[in-house]
Amino acid sequence: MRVLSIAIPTCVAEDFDGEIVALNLDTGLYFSFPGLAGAIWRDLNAGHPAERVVTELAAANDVLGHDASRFINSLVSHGLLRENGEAASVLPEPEYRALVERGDFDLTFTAHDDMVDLVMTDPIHDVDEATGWPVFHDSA
Amino acid sequence: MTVREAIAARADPPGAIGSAGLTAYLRQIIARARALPQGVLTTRRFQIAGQSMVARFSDEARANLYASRLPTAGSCTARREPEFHVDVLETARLGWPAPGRWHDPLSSRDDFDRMLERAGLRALPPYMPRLWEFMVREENWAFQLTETPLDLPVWEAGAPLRIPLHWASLDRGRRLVHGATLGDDRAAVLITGPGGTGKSGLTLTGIAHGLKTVGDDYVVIEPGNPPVAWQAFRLLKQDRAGIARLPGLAARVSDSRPNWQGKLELDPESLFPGCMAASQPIRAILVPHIGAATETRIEPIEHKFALDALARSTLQQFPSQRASGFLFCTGLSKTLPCFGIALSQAPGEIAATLKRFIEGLGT
Repeated sequence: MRVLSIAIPTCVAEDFDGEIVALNLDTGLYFSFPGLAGAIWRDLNAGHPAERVVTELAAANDVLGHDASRFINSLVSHGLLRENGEAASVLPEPEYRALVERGDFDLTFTAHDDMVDLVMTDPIHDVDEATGWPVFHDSA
Repeated sequence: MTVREAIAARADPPGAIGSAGLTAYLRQIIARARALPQGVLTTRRFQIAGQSMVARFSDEARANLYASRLPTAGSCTARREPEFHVDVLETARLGWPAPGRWHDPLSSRDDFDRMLERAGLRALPPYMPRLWEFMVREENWAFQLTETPLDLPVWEAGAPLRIPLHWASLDRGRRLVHGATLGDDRAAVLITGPGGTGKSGLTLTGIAHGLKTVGDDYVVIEPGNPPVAWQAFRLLKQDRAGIARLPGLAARVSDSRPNWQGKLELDPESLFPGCMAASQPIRAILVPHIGAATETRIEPIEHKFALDALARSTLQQFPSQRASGFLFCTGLSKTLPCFGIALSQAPGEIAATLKRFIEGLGT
């Protein structure tokens, strides 16, 4: 079973009152995972195997199970989580369980590309094709 | 052979500093600075966001200029934090060899940062010849090395020691951001956006009508509930067109000369005594834009627009720790209500609208 965790150093993420914002430093894309998506993010990082999460969500709702599988695969394909191969011996109660039990099946999340240029480029010392790095700005 | 390989195949220019010799070079500067006899350097003390800063200068005139532009000790309650030190050194005055020139065309930015981190150092990438800014992290001690002040970027005098201040803030969980504030001791707004969107003009208008500010260009933000903005620099910048919009102000600043942006750099306390606050609690983010509106309008905006306005200019100007900077800006834009302000052309009306808005902000 796949145990996933945040793909350091490629990915940085922070929890803002339950909403996870994750940034991929290689692509410049950042993602927002509110509600159930944020809960699944935290549960995966806590060590809950991906397959177990999907199986349990599918038992609650077929469509949710399918969505969860796609969601988790996209976390990996976008370079936000990676397999770490270490299964925790004691796992906390997963957060998604309480949300699903009260009928919250909304796995919406958003991806943003408006920071790509800011994250990816290095405006101070971009490489110049002729002179290499750094590009000097002569003050004389 | 690629262009970069061809460059690497050439001999390094004499006196060039490459990856192999970088940390040794910086350590050499540190040792020279530590060995300077007492009295060679002029000392000035500042206090920024409650942290004491001790700056030593090889040029007394520069010490006095910076002392007029940085908050001095006692401007707010000092925290129980280690002092931050910065040595501002000019090799021409000290009789040292001119600053070495960085030349390592195969080095990447990440390699540069990692190499220094392993050595316990942090440095601004040397994008200007004859300018080195770096710090010894464990000692809270930064260095700015030039041959003469002419080697500094043109914006340095308007925000002196901006990079060391940024580093000092980072290591205390605070951050220097590109923005302005207006308000009072109970509530203030953080005004953010790229250059030309009206931050400085709005700030000047606000203080001319009785509001207070901690700065119009860079402020230190301390996360919290609410976040707190701290004064970083004691000056405002405004072009003559913006000054002309305020009755009587142009005559009071007629002797001032414009800076590299065509703006006058003004001591706000001399113009509007009592207008500079040491700190202000921030209750909202405001993103201005200059328009031809007949009346000023303030309307809610999605946090992502405030994030873009705040992060874009802040991260461009402070590229170190870009990832944590992005998350810092994200946190602010999510914690605070965000608004756009469409500015009219009437300073009095702008100020009145802003005052009503700030009075309505919760505590």
